[in-house]
Amino acid sequence: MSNESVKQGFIDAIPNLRAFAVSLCGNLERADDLVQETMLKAFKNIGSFQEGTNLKAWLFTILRNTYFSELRQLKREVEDADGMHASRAAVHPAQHGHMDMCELQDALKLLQDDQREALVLVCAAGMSYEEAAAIAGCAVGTIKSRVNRARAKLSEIMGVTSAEEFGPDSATEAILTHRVGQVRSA
Amino acid sequence: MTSGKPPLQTGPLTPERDENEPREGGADMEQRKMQIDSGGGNCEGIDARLQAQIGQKLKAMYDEVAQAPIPDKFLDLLEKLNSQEKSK
Repeated sequence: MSNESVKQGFIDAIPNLRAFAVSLCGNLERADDLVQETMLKAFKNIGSFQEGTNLKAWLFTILRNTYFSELRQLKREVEDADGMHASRAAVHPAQHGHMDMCELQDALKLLQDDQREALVLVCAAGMSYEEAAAIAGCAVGTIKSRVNRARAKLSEIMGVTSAEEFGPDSATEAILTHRVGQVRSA
Repeated sequence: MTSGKPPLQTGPLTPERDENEPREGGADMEQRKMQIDSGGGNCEGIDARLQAQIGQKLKAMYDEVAQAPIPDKFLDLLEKLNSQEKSK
């Protein structure tokens, strides 16, 4: 593979890599750091790329591996710091009114990382289940069930968030208001 | 239905629609969501509407970044990496 075609392949993949990274980590700045790291790693390991296979999928794989290993590192640090975990878990995304981009990003953060990844690959990046499974390094069936669980969880979160629009269940509403109140007063 | 608004809640229920639906692939998934979206009206419909809404928001969030111009820093970095490769 010539340098020029590698370079062009990278340029073509960057917009999607950025979008994938933002959807995974929820922050454009961090996403761009991930994309940069991905490019550095990819150039360093270009010898292990099999010519004729999907360069975009290869780059996606490097990016998600980078993201997940950083996440594992971060989680270890957070667990070491006393009380940090509890305060993070208390952040509730619910805001009354309509679901907007911010709420979706907040809601995505509440998903398990592997479920969020599967959802983004299949429902946002337009990958097939097979491609998503290859990128995430798991079975096709696993991807399917992760996507299903992610969608169910999101719809649970969003359903509560947009309860007004769909006709509120007063019990849920009361709990929600209470929780939002707790977070806001914290 | 005479107005220009999309029929959000009034679509007919088509319980047999699952039979022939494609199950795999990103594009099929999108199509499936749209089919589900058109059959709202009851409790299941609320969930289907939500699902469709979530799907659209996800796609919009992704596309917003995917369609943005590539920041120069990436092009500069590629240029640098490429010339390093060449000089090896």
